[in-house]
Amino acid sequence: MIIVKRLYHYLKQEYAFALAIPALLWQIIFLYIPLIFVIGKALYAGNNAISGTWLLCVCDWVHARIIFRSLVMSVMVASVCLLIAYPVAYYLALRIQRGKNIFLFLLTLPFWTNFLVQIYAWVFIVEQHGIINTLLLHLHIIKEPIHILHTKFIIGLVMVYSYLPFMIIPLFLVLEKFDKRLLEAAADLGATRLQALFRVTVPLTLAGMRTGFLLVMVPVFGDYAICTVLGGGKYLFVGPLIAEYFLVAHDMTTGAAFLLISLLILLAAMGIISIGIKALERKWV
Amino acid sequence: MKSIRLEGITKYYRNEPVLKDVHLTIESGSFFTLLGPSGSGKTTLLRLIAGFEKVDAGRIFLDDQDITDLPAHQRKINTVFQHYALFPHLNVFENVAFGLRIKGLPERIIEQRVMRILKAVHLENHVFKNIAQLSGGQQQRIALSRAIVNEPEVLLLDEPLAALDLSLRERMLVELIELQEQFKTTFIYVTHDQLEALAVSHQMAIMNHQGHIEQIGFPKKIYEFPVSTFVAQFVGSTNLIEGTIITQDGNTYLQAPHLPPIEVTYDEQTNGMTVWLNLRPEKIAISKKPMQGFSNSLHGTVEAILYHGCSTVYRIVLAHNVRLQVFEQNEEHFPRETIEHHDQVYVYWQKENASVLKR
Repeated sequence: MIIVKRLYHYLKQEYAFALAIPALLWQIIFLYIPLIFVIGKALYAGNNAISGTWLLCVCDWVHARIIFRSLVMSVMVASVCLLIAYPVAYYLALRIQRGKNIFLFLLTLPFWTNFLVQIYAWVFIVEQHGIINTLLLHLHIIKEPIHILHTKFIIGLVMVYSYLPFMIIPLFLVLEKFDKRLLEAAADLGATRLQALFRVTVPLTLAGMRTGFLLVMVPVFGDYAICTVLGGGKYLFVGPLIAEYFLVAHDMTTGAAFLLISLLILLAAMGIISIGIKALERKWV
Repeated sequence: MKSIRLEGITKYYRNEPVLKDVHLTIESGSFFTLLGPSGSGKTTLLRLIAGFEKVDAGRIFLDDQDITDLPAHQRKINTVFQHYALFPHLNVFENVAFGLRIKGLPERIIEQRVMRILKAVHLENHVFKNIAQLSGGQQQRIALSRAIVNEPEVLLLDEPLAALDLSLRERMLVELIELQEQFKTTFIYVTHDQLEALAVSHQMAIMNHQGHIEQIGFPKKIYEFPVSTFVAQFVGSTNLIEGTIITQDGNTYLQAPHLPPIEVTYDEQTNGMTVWLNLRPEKIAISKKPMQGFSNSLHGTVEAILYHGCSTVYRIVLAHNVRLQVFEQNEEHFPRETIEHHDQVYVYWQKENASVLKR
C-alpha cells in the first residue's frame, strides 16, 4: 500500500515522466525485449553451449564485405544528401521571406505516396524499356538501351532521392535559427561571402549536419526495399541478407549474429562520425 | 582616419522614402553623432555608409575615394552593431581576431594587436572565455574591440549602448571618448538618446521623421540655438509659445494670445509672422514674490510638482491654459521659500536666454 502511495506521489510530481510511460512501455516491449532475444539467439546455441556463429560473421570475408559495402553506401548517400541539402536548406531558411511553409510542404509531398510505390516508379523510369532509355533512343543519343537498373548507382540515387528530406529538415531548422546579422558582421570585418560561409555559417550549423547525417545513415545502412527492388539481388547489402537468413534460410542463429555485428559496426561508425563533427565544433568554439 | 562625405543620398524602402537627398560632411578624426527619433533613417544612413545597403541615388565618399559601389567587405570601415553580433562559436580572442585573420596577418602580429586592444578595454583576463559567459557590458566592449582592432578609417556605432543599464552606459560613454582620443579614428555614432549625443559628440546632426537633416552643429549650439521647434523639442525639453512678432518703441515683442507681450531679441523683420518662443525650463526663475531685474515676468498657478531629488520641475499654468515647465536646482537643504501645489507664483527670464524659431 505504501509503495503504491509513494509511487503515486512520485508520478504526480514528475508528471513529465508519467506522460512518457506509454511510449516507454511500447519501446521496451517492441524494441528492447526483441533485441534481447536477438542477442540471446546470437550467443546461445542451445544445449548449454555458447554459439560461435557470430565469430564467423566477423572473420568471414563475405560477411565483412557486405557490412563494409553497406557502410560505404550509407556514408556516401549521406554525404551526397548533405551536399544537395545544404544549399536548399540555406535558400529556404535565409533567402525566402514569405511562403516558407509552402516550400516545406512541397518538400514533404513525396511522403504522401507510399514508399514502395515510389521505388517501383523508379523501376519504370530506368528499366531496359523504361522512360529514360526510350527517350534517349528516340533522340538518337544512344544506339542501345543502357543498363541503369540493377546497378549500385541507381540504388544510391534512389536512396538519395528517398532520404534527402531527412537531411534538409534538420539543416533547415538550424539555419532558420541562424542569426543572419552575423553575416553582416563578417562582411563588415572584411570576409567575402565564401569566407563568411565557411567561417561563420558552417561552424554554427554543424549540429544540424550531424543530425542529418545520422538520420540518413541509419535507414540507408539497414535498407531492404531499395536494395531489393532496384538492385535485383545483384549486390548483397546488410538489410536483404538479414531478411534472407530469417525468412528464407530460417537460420535464426546466423541471422541474429549477423544483425548484431552489423548493428555494432554501424553504432561504432556513427560514433566516430559524431565525435569527428563534435571535435570540429570544439575546434571552432 | 578619413572623412566621410555624403552627396544627395536617397533611399527608398518599399517605395517609401527613408532618406531624401541627404548632404553631410563628417570631418576626419571627429566624433560625429546622428541623432533622431526611431524611424528617422539614421540607422539606414549608417548601413549605407557600411555598405550593407545600396543607395537609390547619391554618392558616398571616403576622403576623395568614391565608395558608393564598393561592397561592404572591401570598405575600410567597421561597425559596432546594436546587438553586437558577436560570433557565438568563437571565444573572445577569436572574435576580436576575426578581421585580422581574414586579412591573413601573421599569428604574432594578430596576437599583439588583439591583446593590445583587449587591455585597452580591460578584458585581458577574459581572453579565452566564451561569449555566452560574459556580461552585456563585456560583450559590448568585445564588439567595440572587434571593430577597432582593424584600425578602420571610420568606425560606425549603431546605438551601441542601448542594451546596457544606466550606470554602465555612463561608464561606457567615458570609455568611448577615451578610445576615440587614443585611436583618433573618425567615429560616427547613431543614437536616439539626446543626453548620450550631447555628452560625446564633437559635431551632431539632428534628423527628423522625414529623413531630413534638420540641423548640424556642435552640441552646445544645437541645445542653445536650435533652428526649429523639432530640434528644440527633441534635444532636451523646452517650452514653446506660439505668437506673432510686433515692434514697439524700438523693442521687439512676441504677442501670444491671452498673454501680455513678451520681450524677445530678434533681428529679422518678420512683423506679423507666426513664430515660436523657445524657452528652456532651466532658464526660468520661479518665486512667490515679484522680483526686479528681469526683462520678462509672468504670473501663474502651480499645477504640478515633479521632485527629482537634485532638481524639481514645476508645471505652471499661465492665463488661459498656456503651460510652462520650470526647472529648479535644489541647492539648499532649507530653501528660503517653499513652493507648493496651487501656489500663485511669478516666473522670470532674461530675453537673451530665449530664442525665436520660425518653424
